[in-house]
Amino acid sequence: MDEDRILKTLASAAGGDRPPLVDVADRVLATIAVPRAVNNVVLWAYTGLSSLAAAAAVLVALWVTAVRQDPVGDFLEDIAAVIQ
Amino acid sequence: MDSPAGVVHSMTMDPADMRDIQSTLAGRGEAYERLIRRYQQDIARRMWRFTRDRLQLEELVHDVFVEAYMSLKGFRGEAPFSHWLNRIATRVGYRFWKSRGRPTARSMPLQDWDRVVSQDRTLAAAEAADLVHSLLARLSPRDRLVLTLLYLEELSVAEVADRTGWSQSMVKVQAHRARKKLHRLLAKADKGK
Repeated sequence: MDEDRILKTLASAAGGDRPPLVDVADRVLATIAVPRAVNNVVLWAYTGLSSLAAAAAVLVALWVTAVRQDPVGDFLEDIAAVIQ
Repeated sequence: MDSPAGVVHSMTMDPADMRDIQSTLAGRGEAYERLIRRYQQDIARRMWRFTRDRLQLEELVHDVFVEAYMSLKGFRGEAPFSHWLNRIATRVGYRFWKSRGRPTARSMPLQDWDRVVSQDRTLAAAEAADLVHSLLARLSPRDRLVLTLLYLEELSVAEVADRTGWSQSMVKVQAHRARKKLHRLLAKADKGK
């Protein structure tokens, strides 16, 4: 019995053998605890939307203030009417 | 480690690899992620020699890249990154075999090996790989490693030396001993018929 022949025959037949697909990237990065950079598109979108939201809040506040009755202005008009 | 005589690195260092290595050393995880995704299937092919279990395969591939990261500062770029990774893969696989011990259950009777390889039908690749894996599993990790690299990886003696860190003389002696041990195992099984 020739072990060299057995090994060569089996190795040759096994040449096309392929492992299943693996994906270990996420686990490896978690193990070594190396941070990935935040996706720039996501970052810019978040920043832009936040700024818009803040600007909208300011505008709404100004508009609400403008449409409300102006108690000081009304008071001054009353004084003016009394004086007249 | 300098490559022994007889090993020719036919590929030069990939510029993309060098960029990603430098970025990784600068602390950029996404660069190392690119390296992992570039080489993980290739390393999986290497580690498939060390285990036929899918879950264990993922563990071994994971371990290779963790160890590679820890050793990355020592990578000098004298040979392609893949060669350096292959050395780490060999070390991880060898350590795995040493931690496992040899299987006691037989996959098939040893005395049938000769009949299996002599039969007319063509063995399917996976079936042949399973058979040679179970055959070599009966050897010590050192014997198993040298025969795996010589027969399954089809490396030359010089390449085995490069991959393992052994001298070429040691590879030759180890291979000779391993074949003798395998011969004794098969002959012993024959006598038991």
